[in-house]
Amino acid sequence: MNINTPILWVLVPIFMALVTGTLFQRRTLSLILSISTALGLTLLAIFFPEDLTLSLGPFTITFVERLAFLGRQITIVSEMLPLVALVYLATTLWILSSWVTDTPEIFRPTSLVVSGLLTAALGVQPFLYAALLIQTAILATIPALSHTQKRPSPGILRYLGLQTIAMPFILIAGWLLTGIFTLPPDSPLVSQSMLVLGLGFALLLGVFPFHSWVPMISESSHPNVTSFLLFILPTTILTFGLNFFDRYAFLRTSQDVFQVLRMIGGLMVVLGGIWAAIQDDFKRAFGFAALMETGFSLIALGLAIQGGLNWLLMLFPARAMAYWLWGYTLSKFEVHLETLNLQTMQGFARRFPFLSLELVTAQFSIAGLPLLASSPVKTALFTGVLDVAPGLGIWVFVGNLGLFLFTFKAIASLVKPAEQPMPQSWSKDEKLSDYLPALIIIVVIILMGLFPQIFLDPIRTTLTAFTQLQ
Amino acid sequence: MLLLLPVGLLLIASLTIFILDKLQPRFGTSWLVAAVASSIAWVVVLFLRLRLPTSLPILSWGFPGDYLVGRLSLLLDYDSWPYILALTTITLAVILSDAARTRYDSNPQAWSAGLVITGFGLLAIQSGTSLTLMLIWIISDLLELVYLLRLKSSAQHNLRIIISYGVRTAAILSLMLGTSIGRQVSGDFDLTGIPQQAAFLFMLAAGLRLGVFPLNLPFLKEPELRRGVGNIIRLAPVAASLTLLARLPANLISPALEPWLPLFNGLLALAALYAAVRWISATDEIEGRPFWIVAWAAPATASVLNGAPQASLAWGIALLLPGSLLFLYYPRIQRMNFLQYFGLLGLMGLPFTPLASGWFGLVANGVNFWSFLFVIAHALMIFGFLIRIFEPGGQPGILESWARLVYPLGLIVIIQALVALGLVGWPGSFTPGIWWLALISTLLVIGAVILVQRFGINPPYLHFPSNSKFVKVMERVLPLLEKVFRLEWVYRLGWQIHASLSKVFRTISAILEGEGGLLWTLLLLVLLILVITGGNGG
Repeated sequence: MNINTPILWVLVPIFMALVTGTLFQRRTLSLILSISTALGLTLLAIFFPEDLTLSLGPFTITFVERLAFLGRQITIVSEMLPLVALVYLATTLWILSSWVTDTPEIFRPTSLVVSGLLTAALGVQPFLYAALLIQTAILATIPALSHTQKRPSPGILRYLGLQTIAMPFILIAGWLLTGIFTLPPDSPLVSQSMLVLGLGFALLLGVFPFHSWVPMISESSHPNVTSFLLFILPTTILTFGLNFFDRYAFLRTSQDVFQVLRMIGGLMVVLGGIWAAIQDDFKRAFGFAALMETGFSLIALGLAIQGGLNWLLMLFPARAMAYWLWGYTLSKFEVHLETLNLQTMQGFARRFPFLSLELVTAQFSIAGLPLLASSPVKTALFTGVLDVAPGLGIWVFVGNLGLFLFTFKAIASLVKPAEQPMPQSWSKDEKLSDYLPALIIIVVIILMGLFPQIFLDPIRTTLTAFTQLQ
Repeated sequence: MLLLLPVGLLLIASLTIFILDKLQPRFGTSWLVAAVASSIAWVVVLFLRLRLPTSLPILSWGFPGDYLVGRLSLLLDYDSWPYILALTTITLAVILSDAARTRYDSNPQAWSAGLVITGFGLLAIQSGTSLTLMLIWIISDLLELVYLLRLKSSAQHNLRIIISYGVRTAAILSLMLGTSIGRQVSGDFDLTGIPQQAAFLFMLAAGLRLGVFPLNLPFLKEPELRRGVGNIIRLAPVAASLTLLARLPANLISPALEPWLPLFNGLLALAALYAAVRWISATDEIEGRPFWIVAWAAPATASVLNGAPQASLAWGIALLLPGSLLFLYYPRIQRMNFLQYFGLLGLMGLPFTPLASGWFGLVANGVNFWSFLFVIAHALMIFGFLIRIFEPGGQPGILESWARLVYPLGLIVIIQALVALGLVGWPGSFTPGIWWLALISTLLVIGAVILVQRFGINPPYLHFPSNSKFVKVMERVLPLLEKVFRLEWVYRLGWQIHASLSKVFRTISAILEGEGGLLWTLLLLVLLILVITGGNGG
């Protein structure tokens, strides 16, 4: 029996999303189906047989890596599976947290559809059709982002608008790039196509000054949904972007391109850091932290010659855990408060010590505090950027301090005794079931920080899917 | 593995005491467990002197092509062994002398916490790489943060705790940046080979944690952290930072930083002088403890800046051991007062005493004005120590019979360690030193004692009358100085910058996220393209 890998990781989740979508009022069943689908696909991606055959007693299943679909081909090669595993592991975790938080019911089918579509975007041929798949995934996220009883917030409209503008840019860039092999390197068409392509990706990734939707939706939407979106979109878009470097020699050999990427990345870290530092609102701060992370990804891309693509990929798992943790804890706090800012959450650590610790750990992990998940990669990135451009390296380091500053403001507010007639003492208003899942993720985050060779290294295999980038 | 034995013993003992206390609280049994574990740890540490240098690799990330570099390892050498001995000695002394403080703050929970903190302190001191040191600092800072926050305290004190934690994290980040710069220069390096380019940031990390460079004193009052385990909590992190100082390269100051050296020395000398004055004027030794730490850490840091990192060992040991001898001397027993003279001897810097080798650090770059300021600060510290010694004590009858034996033993252990370190602590520890600097300091102390007597204040009550001019002047000047040295103004300035930046960036956010945000976005985009392309349109 033959099974096409795209059927498994693209069509199955989309089909299951339709099923769970129709069953969304039967919460438990919908949840079990969603989790088992996402988890099953994760495990399959992790334990996928290298020889593409699987023997189950008398049955032998042969996997085919391609699937023709509407005249196009979707290819999911085994080298790409570590990333696919990460995408579905993240989906599993976020679906699980949707169970224990009051995430909109529509989130579960949405997350499966988005994961399926974005996985397809990673392997569609001709690869420019990925822009269409990404756009579809973006459209699919809208119901989960908007509250059912309210009108869509301006942030969602901004998000939809800017992301939609990005699609034609990518398609035009593809069209311009079609005949680029025959052109001399100094042809104006080369720089024009680079500019159009750059604009497309800048819009997709929310690069400054197209970033405004990130803090806006972060503020207005459910933290669990936002954190999933801000992880899954940049991760797949950046990986999709590697296709361009793989395919076009003028891109991967141009020092100017790498320099611009580093500069824009640095700018995002610095601006994101300043914006994060001055925030009072935890949800908006998360949005700016996500922008900083995109900045770090661009810096890693700009350091491709120094091995930056390895760092780019290794940042993804560390980021997934920290984003999940931040989204989860904010979702838990949102049950008690309408607005999550430094004033309203004053003294919360004295009532919810574990959840507060988990929130702070998430922020520290993203900021790159040693011992936590992203620190090994961040330290390597700092070394790399200091080597290539010392001035920029110092700026990036200083910009990153912004998130640390916000975290200290957060700690000071969380532990400050609330103003009452009597000084607020320490108590525990949280249940084990509230904070245990996040505690487990903290352990994983620490293990990632201590043993990156075990937890972060496997994802580097994804690079082998790009023959020119290894 | 021998390196892990003292740490393991202390941690197991801590866990045992914790469990015992939960299941069946027995003061005596818990004390015995703590005393036996810390005694064995102390003996093992003494034995380790014969095995120097010893290292223990723990973990290496080992990425192909060095995409990620990182190693965890422990290292015991001549720079770390003195501090290991000092810390285990202090812990043993705390446990033994706590027998006399059963009515105060001595209890099994405190011993359990103290043993854990010592365990992490030992690991920090023995860190072989910056990664190891960062990890241990993070864990121990977090433990301390939780411990301090759980104490009953005001909102203002809470803020101080967070500021202190922030300063410590800043030190870790300084170390992180230093590590990145160091790796860029020499690849993966350990703490015995810190590259010159990164060394200043390492020193800054140690200086921040010690509170001397730049001077910062978030905690001036520590009502809940008194004797006993409070002493371990205060001194264990200090010992780890002092070890880092001792490991820094002699050529720490690069040619680019050389013009700044007098300024750095000046700041440190002023810090030492200010802290020495505050030490003298403190109402008791515990009130003066934060200043005690700064006053001795300042010359240690100056030694490193002057290119004599090993001289910092002498100043560091002076901070830890004679200091603990005094801080743990409670309740005071008149008959035991003489033990403090051994501590005094360890501080004076006379030839062939433990501090003698420290003078090299102050004059390694030649004698200058700042060297004399340090000598004055040293004399003031000795004078302050003398004041404390002369305070009257009670009768041994206030102690239980078993405490009458182990309490002095706790203090004697410190003296033994001080003697051992003076003799064989590190290469060059047993030296005549720079005798004339010690002589100047001693003469200054003698002069001060005579002056004080001329004012009509006789030992053992070496306190100035509250209506004396000196006290009145100090009462006016010290709060002003405190404001300057406590760095309140830096925090306030930082907060004002934060507020100004907030206004600007909130306005930008409001514009970009407002109705006309998209148009502004496009305008900014055009400007950005012009900047990137240098204004030539591509």
